[in-house]
Amino acid sequence: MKRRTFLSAVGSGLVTAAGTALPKAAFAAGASDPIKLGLLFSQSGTMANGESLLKDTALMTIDQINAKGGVLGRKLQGVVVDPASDWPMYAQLSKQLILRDKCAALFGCWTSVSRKSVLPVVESQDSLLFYPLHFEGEEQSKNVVYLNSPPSSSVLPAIDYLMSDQGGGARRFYMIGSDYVWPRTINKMLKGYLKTKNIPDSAWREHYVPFGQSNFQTIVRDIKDFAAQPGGQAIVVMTVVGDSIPAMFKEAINQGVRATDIPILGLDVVDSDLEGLDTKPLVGHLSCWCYFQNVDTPQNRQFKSEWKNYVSAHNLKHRPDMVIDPMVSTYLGINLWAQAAAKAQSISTDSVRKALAGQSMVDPAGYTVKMDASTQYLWRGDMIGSINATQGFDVMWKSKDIEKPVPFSPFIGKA
Amino acid sequence: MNTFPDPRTSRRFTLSALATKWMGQTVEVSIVPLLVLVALYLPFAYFVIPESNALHLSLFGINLIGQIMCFALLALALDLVWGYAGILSLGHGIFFGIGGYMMAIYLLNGAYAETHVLPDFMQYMGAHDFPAVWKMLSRLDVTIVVTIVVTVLVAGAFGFVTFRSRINGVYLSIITQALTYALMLLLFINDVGLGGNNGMTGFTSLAGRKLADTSTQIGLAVCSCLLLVVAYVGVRFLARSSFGRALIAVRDDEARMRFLGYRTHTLKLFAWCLSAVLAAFAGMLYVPQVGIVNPTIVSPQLSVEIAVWVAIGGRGTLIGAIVGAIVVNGLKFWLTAQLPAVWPFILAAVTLVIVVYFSNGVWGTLKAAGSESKGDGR
Amino acid sequence: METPMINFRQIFFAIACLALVWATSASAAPGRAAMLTSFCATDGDKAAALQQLVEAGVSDDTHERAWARQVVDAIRNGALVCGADGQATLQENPALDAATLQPRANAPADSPYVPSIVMMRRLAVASAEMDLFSPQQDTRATAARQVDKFFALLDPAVVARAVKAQHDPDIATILTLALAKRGLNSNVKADRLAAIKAVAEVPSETARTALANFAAQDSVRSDPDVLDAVQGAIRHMDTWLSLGKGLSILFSGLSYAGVLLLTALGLSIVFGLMGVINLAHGEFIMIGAYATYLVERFMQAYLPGWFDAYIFVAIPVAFMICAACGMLLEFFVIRFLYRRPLETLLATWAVSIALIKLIQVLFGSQNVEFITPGFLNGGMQVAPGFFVTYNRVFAIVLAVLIFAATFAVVRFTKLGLLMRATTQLRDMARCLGVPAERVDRIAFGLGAGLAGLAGVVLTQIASVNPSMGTGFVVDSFMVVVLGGAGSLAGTVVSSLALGEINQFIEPFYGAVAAKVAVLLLIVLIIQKRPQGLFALKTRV
Repeated sequence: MKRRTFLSAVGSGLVTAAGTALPKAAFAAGASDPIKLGLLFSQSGTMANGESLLKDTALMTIDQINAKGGVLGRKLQGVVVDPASDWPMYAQLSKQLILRDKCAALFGCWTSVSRKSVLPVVESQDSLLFYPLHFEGEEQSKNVVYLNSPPSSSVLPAIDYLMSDQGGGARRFYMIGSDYVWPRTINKMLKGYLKTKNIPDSAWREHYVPFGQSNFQTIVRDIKDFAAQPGGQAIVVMTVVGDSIPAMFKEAINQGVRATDIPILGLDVVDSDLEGLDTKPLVGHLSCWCYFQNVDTPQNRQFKSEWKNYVSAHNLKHRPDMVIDPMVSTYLGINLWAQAAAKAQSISTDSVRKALAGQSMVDPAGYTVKMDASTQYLWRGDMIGSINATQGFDVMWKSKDIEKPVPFSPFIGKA
Repeated sequence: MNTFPDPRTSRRFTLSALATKWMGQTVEVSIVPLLVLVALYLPFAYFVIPESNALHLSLFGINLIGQIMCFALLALALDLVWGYAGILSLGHGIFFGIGGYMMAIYLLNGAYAETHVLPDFMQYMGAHDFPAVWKMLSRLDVTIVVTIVVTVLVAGAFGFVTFRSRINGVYLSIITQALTYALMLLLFINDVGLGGNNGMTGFTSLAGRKLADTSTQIGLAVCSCLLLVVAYVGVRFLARSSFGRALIAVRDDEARMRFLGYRTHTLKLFAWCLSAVLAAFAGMLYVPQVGIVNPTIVSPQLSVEIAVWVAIGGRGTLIGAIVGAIVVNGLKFWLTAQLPAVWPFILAAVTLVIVVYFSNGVWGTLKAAGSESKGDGR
Repeated sequence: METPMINFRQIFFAIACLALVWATSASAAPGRAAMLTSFCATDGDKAAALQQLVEAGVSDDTHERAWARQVVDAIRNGALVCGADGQATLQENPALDAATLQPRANAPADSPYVPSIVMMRRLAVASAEMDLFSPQQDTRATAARQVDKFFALLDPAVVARAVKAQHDPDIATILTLALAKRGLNSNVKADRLAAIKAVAEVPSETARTALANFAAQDSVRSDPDVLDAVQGAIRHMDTWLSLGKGLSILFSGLSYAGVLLLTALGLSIVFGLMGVINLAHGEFIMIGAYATYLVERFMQAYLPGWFDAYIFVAIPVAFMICAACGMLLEFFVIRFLYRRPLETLLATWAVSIALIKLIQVLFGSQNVEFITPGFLNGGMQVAPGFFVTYNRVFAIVLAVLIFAATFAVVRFTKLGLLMRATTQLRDMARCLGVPAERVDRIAFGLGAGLAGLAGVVLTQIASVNPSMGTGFVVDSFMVVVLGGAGSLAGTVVSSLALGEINQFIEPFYGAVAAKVAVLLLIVLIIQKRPQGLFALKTRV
């Protein structure tokens, strides 16, 4: 693999250049028109790393469904656009996908700000957006299907663990996030929650950096300073996203911050963010998702091998041995949509929405996920993972069964 | 020195015969009825012409046209200061942004009055009510007046200090880039209270009409066309008046004008403020059509792109700016949908060719070739 | 007369020894298995089991020490599998039985034990305690600092033994200090006072935390003598720590200034000498970074033994590639646009968007990750509260060296002489036979090459992606304009000033506010003094 990467650094680039410069050929779907599904994932910009994985997972799932005969006798076709990590572009392109391409549903967005930009569009055009990331909650729209967990099922269990004796008895919290809706809301809820646990105001600190910030020198120094104050064990609640994650980890490693000193709970960290880092000094930092790829179930083994085959068959630039939770959510979303459309015998938004309620299937982590009947949130299992020495996560804890998602947190108002 | 591109050095066209027939004042004036026709055509194309017909325009298409008209107005504003006063501002995005954000505040006021739900960015910042300053902008006429006042103040402050210090040319361009960059960074900070990276969205109604209605959207596009017409007529009148002549003279040789007794900085300041107001209007019409405003509207890249539209169209000709903006943006919207990977190369190539070889831009070159054939000897 | 008497004492002693040896050797194997079982027991006391492992790890038996070492390392790396059948396995290649270290026939399918945060700390201390007896001095020194950091978890018996066995006085001091910190919790007042004094002698953040936590205890607050001593100690440490923090800020300012200097140097030459505005300057920086990436991949594939030196190999490579790109740009585009600065602006902007897209298409738009060379990893605690990371020290050193080289070229070489002549009085220089066009081309190439060098350095401290250059263009222009176009000294002074001001504002208002403040400051200064701080006297 090593010898090939030097040549592929230039070679596959040329292949991609040839591939992308040519107009995309329409899918030859057969006699009837294909059903179009809009794929709203960035291929460039700060969110490109994660979102391009989701785009390819969506295309893989579409291929799988088509191989089984498609939906309502018609093939599915993924319409790929590139919003380039620019939030107004998401709004613009979602309009284009709905009005011009007549897509039956949209699958997309990673950051909450991109979802918030698309929200007015899907509401005014009455379309459906399937959103695959865990997020801050505080939202419930009949035009959005929430495929991953709000904080009640993901963040709070992790915080509880860190505050327990086994987790180090955290009593002081340094919240560092990118400056937009998700980190701000998570921290607001967290502060309310901490208040109910009698943590005083002096025991937490909040700091926000712009998107794409890569210089964390002063911040890591500030964290070390904060941790040196008395009052108990300090932890870092890290809600930075995209490029900022490896940048902050690198600075923490260089300045000697280890999980044994100041554990970092990185709420948006996935395996792809750890690529290229030497993770031995990062062992022990935590993250929480509904799925980690080291979970050992037959469904997971199958899903991982399907992904591996897809990557090599299409010669993609991704790592064939890496699967992250948002990919699983995307896979679940498309399958659930297909199930609902088949049950409703129609692809109109209203009928699919009605048929979605209560739909269930088995996810790669082994849980039987279920779509909530009223909130359009997906019930999923919950896991806490700990970074290991091989750029991955070890599953430290997983919930016994799927958990009820709580869209509106009771702790928000308390801050 | 900002010399007007010398028509004698531009390339000849074999089209010059055609140019002689078509160029000249007739064409420049006839763009006015052309744009009015487009404005009338829009509602017609949507409501009357059936969908199956090729001449039908979907709402999406009308929306695009409206946005392009706003960009054309923005380019017109820049041409006024660059083509006529010789001030290459690479920061006109600032005024575009001021107009855009003011309009967004007004729209959010309207949405709040309707739904009584605070916008997201206020909720997560812990606010419980609209800031008092915002509540001022609850009527459209007030918003327009306030926007004009704020724009003139900002533009005036900058222009007063800069033109008096006799900063021009490249230094001024770099400073305007730095200022727009600084404003963009400031707007990204959520604590400033303008939505940060999220920007402002969730608009519901404008001047009593629901924004989501097709009639409102078409109305906005029509307004953009008509405003462009009015602005063009006004600026053209100004440019052909003695004020315009004085501006051109300042552009060509400011020292001489100063020695002749003209207050060059006042002339430039007036043109600058007028241009800023036009850009702000463009922003005000742009935001309701896009449905969201966020700091990328004041990004340095957009501000440089405005100059590129004017350069490609032909600066100093007013109509060139409009043509340049329409052509470049039209191409961009069309190509980024079809061949997203190729658009930057095409734009780069076109810009390079125009800038290096056809320094008058497309329109300017055609015009110069036409006048040369006429034998004006200009 | 000496008759050979049977010495009953000796025989008894010999039999006792044999019995002892037999007993210990018989219990060696069961000892290991018992330790592993008690560690793996679900409700067992893992801390106590770990203690036993440590004792095995510091015993006199080399085999036991090696075994304990291997087991503890495995647990830390998440490689210990506590089998449901009672057998513990180490997940290596091949899987080994944990007690005997022999390969196992069938590897277990259970998941490995993932240590909790608290357990990780105990493991760190356990590992360090075993390292205290290592033959290498570096290992012992690191282990001593680790033990000191987690002084609350250390095993005093083991550490006391280590102190006695130490030959190195520095290490012994650290260990004694660690033990003294534990003495803070003693019940004897004199011990406490002595402990406070010992801790105060070596100011550090961890010591301060320890004392601050100690001062918060009720037993301390009620005792005025101890309270006084603690508060005095804390004040003494605070002075040291604030000094350290001040040095930290100065250092970050220096490293920021180094980056500014590197990115602005090329621009200073191009803008100052030729009046050319190059909006593609950021893209040259980006090309330099990607050239470094190619060098890194190449060396990883073909010269892995020399991998760490890739950054030094990248320096000339990036310089040449960027200089070539610069000269091509000058030849094809810029040379038609002299005396038309505004057109140059737009033309170079066009080139920049094309370059960004080209790199995006060739390499993808994701961030490119660099493996830091070994010698640039980590950092050093220079003073209490002042920690320097090696990658930034490297950036500063390289910035200084590159500046010196550029200064030497401009001041002492023929090329520099020709460049200065062309700047000061172009037509006269041409009359004297200076090939002005060629000098321009080479100067542009030099400027672009310097930008490439900035890219090389930035690979270690910033994120590398196709649009990384856009963030540097405005800043470098501001530095050049403030310093005075064409003046190298001006560039240095303005980068230093801006870097330090930025870092002084940042801790209070954040990085963005600092940047905005600096930009506005520059704009204000330019209004007053448009030619910059160090204006070159030229005649066009």
